[in-house]
Amino acid sequence: MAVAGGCPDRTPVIIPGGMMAGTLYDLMAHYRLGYPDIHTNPAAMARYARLLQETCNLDNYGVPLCMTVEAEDFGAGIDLGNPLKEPRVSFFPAGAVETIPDLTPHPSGRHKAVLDAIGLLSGKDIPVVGNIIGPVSLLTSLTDPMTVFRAMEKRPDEVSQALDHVARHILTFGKEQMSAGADFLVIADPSASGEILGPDYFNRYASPCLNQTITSLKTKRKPVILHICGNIQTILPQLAKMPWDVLSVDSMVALKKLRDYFPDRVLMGNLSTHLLVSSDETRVTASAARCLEYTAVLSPACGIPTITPVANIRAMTAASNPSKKTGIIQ
Amino acid sequence: MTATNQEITLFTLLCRAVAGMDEEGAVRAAQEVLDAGIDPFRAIHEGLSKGMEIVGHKYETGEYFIPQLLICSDAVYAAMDVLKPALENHREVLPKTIVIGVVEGDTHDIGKNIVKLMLASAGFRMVDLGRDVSLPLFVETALRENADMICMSTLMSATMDGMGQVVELLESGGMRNRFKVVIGGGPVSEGYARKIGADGYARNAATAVKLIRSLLKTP
Repeated sequence: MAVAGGCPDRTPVIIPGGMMAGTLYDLMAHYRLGYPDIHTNPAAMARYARLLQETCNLDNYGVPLCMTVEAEDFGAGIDLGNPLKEPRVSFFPAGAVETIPDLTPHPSGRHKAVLDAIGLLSGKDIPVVGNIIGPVSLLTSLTDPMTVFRAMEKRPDEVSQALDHVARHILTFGKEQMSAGADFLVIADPSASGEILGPDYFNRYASPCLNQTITSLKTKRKPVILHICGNIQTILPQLAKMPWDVLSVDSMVALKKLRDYFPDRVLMGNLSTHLLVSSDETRVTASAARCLEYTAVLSPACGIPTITPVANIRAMTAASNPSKKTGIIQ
Repeated sequence: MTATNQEITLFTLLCRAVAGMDEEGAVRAAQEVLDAGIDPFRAIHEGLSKGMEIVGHKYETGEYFIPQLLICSDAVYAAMDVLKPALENHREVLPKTIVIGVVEGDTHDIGKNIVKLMLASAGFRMVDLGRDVSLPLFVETALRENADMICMSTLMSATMDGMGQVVELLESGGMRNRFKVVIGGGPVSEGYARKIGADGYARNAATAVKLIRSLLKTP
């Protein structure tokens, strides 16, 4: 399948949603969108996704607009924030890793809202990107991250069991999104960064459950994008073994070197979100042009701050030159 | 001061236990320090802190990552718990106090927590304000706790300007020279620290300990 969208003759430019949502304060204020409706109401969620796509000439719609839905299903308290502050977990439902398998996920109202929003967005010319959280990040949303990291050394079996438990729910939500009409699925696991875990723990914990989740998702025959934050140098061999269709990386990763390492696979990224929020259109255009030399999908490298100027996002999309189309997921 | 063979042995045991993630070993060695009547402060500086220096080095060189750092610092805490009663007799030596937090608008606190653990392990008294901390609270707390330093972090460029505002609050209150200010986090840099008038920038937890030791003139 090819990525088609606002401008099918260029390297696609996307803002995936989920961890990399692009909930822009200026856009919400301009259209007087109710808050937190874009996170709770399917029509409002779909409307925002459409507005972002149209305003910035993106090649995708992306929902949900946060990475807290799965945690809420497991009973986490969520502070939905405000137009300047994205939703976040405000209460951990588990005191320890070993009690996480006792938590039974119940699809929340927002879980259903995401699926309905995908239904509203799908069937048009613009592909819909669904989003799920990675297993390690979900674990660190259900109990204190420090507890999780300690347990990785001290109680490895319990961590593996907890990861298996949460990964099953993530997989279900991902498949539901695909059935509802998502054309692609992004799995973003920021807590599984190589910089946080290092190669040994990544190999022991993150690799098996990410591998299994992606493999299962692929039975739906739709492309899966994996996003890992931070420097991935130390975990490249593990990433190479995973069946992702597209790998999305952070801004400190040199795409040129990464393409040398993965010559036959599709890479996505990795425009600095710091640049997007704090710089001007000229510099965004120049930086996007450098990314376009090596990436098959141009996108922000991480979560986009809410105060990012719309003009800078538009400069990112405009930088994708129609004459330099690159090969993308076939 | 010349160390006896027994002191050297025990300090080495403490150091190796911390660097080797061996909490039980650290506790055992700390107890032996007490039993032998050895100065607990020297055990901290020449044993536990040396161990954490090795841990910091292993972290910088990519041998240790966050989980290992946490386990090593747990070993320090456990050994400190054993030494605490003996430390009570040395009240004249007060540790330097550092107020630390993630600035308002940001809730990413893994990095801050690691820096806090490393500094506490290095013997500093830490007052942790948590995440999404209102800017005046940094100043109020530093005053109340009679702190020596304010440490701020953020992972988001949208909130980094809050750090400069804290420095401005200190300046407008005529107390800029009373507290050192150190910043850290993804979007900030050495140049940004200079721009806002902070005393230093630390790239990661290990460099934070070195920098802060030198700024606060602690061994």
